[in-house]
Amino acid sequence: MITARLQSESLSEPGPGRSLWQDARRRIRQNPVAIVSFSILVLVGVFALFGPIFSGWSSEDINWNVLGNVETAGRPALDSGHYFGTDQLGRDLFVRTAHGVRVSLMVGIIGALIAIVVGTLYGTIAGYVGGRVDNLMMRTVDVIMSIPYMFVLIILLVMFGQSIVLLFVGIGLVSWLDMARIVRGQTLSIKNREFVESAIVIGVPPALIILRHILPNLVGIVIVYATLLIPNMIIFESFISFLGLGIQEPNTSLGVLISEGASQMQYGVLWQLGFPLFFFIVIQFGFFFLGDGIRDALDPKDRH
Amino acid sequence: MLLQIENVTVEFSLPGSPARGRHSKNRLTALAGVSFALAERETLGIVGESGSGKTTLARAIVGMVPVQEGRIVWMGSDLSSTNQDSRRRIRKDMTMIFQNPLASLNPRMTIGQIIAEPCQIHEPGVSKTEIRRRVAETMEWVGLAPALANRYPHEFSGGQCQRIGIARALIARPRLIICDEPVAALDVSIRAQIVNLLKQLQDEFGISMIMISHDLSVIRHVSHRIMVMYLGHVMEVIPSRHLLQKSCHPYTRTLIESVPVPDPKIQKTRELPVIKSDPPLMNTPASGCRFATRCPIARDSCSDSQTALLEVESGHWLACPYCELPPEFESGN
Ligand SMILES: Nc1ncnc2c1ncn2[C@@H]1O[C@H](COP(=O)(O)OP(=O)(O)O)[C@@H](O)[C@H]1O
Ligand code: SF4
Ligand SMILES: [Mg+2]
Repeated sequence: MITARLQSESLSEPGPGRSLWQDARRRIRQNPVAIVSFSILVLVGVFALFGPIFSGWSSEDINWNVLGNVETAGRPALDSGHYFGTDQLGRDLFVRTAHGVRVSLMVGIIGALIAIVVGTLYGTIAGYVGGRVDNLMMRTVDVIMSIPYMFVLIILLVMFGQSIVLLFVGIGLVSWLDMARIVRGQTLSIKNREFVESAIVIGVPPALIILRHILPNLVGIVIVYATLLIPNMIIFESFISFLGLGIQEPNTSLGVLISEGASQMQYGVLWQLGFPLFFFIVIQFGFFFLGDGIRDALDPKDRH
Repeated sequence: MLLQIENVTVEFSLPGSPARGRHSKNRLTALAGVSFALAERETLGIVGESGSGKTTLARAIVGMVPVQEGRIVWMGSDLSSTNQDSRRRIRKDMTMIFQNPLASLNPRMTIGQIIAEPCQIHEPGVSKTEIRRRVAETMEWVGLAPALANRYPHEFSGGQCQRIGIARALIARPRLIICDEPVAALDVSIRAQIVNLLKQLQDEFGISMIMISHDLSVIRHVSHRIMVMYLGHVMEVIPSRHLLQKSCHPYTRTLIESVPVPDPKIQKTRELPVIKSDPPLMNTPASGCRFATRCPIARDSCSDSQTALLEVESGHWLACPYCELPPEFESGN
């Protein structure tokens, strides 16, 4: 065999290449907003998981000394050990907030995971197969979307009693719909790119085309959307819990805590609203800016 | 014969041409009864302006667009009646190189993986080391350092990406490679390298090729025979070496005349009168010769009767009954 008759233009040094992922990682490291958001979210996560270790109280202990006098004795203070004060029942708010953050984050992450798995699979299949299957699948999504799910969920919760299971069923039902639409649209455009055509011409079987050529090119948008979905799911849960239909005592979530705090506002115990609300807002902004940063890093041409 | 195309017609239905009722002609005929045959080791050049159906023909052959009429026969078997399994086996023997080199490479795969893919698909038993060896060998052959196998497509220039595409097409040793405008998207300075590489490919491995281009000089350089297409119809088929002297279809002559000449003085004195207008819309129904609206020697009868592709000399097919080498062309050469 005759070799290398034609000289290559430049680029002759060997070694591993930079994948698009590595490029994206490098870019996100240079984005201060994304890095700060990420760090704050990590701190919030550490607080949620390990915060209670540093408190003498558990989330169900009632401090009988403050009961009836929460306004003064239940204030946030270092010497009483109630760093965030207590709630109206004399329970330590530091521990309860950590607990609430944990539950809310879990709800958000579970919603995002459902969206990633179900939405991506559903959208990819609809987009790749196309035709009648696509039509049927996407009309189904339209129908589910047109249901006023909040209304239905509230009716279900009232009828069957409040249960976490029902809350997760609700989240599972709605979280993947948008993802399915986004992924389908993206699949349609990837499907028509020349490298997929090239794979078909070469004889790559359809399942492998989806796995090897379509999914890896979807990962970016899926990650971005999932990141932005987490705060949405937290709002969803908080709203239901705020109405008193979601997470139940002695369990708690940010929505429950905010709801309780808001109902006590007029008694001069603003910290009961302030601390949960602070974490709620920090989480919302954290995920929003992180998702935005990831989007920029993955697709730098998109913005200037 | 390796490949026989018999009277192939491809129509696309145009979405959303409204308000004309259900009987209006919402169909676009991209290929109208195209026939040709390709022998082993032969390179057929297909030339024609953009929109003449060259890409559609390539996609019909590799099974990417459905054929409404006619047959595509590959080594004696009709492709429309082959089952999935044998179709997959045929895909090993028939591959394609695309116009846009970067877009035809998966951005998430290393070029080693990209080049190896046909081997993995068609020879699942081959060991990893053997595949790596073949990838290195093929990369070297197309002029890429094998050490670059771990890099990603976006790190390469257009010309290098096209070399990667050629390596991917070559690695499973196909019998036919269809090149759809392989250099159109490349920088002029590297076109010659890629064209020469394709020519060497055909010389060294005896692979048949269909070389599609709107650029006659590229086509002439690599092809044994040239097929001229216009709006989905074959206008003329002629052996490459006879193109300049013996081709006589007015459209072919137009294409020859419009190839730029390096010397600006000659370029200036040369007349380019023929192409006066843009190609007419394909879906406007036309009877008779499709070129009649732009043909300098058209006569009334041209737009009435259907012009058939006839063999005027051995190997020279012509779809114009009136072009006995008109004097203006004779003086031109
Ligand atoms: N998928 C398609 N749907 C509808 N029309 C198409 C499609 N593909 C090609 N065409 C039309 O068919 C004609 C021939 O196109 P093409 O084969 O790409 O020509 P060429 O490659 O010679 O430039 C064009 O008018 C084009 O608009
Ligand atoms: S058939 Fe008539 S219109 Fe067509 S190319 Fe010949 S002379 Fe021109
Ligand atoms: Mg084309």
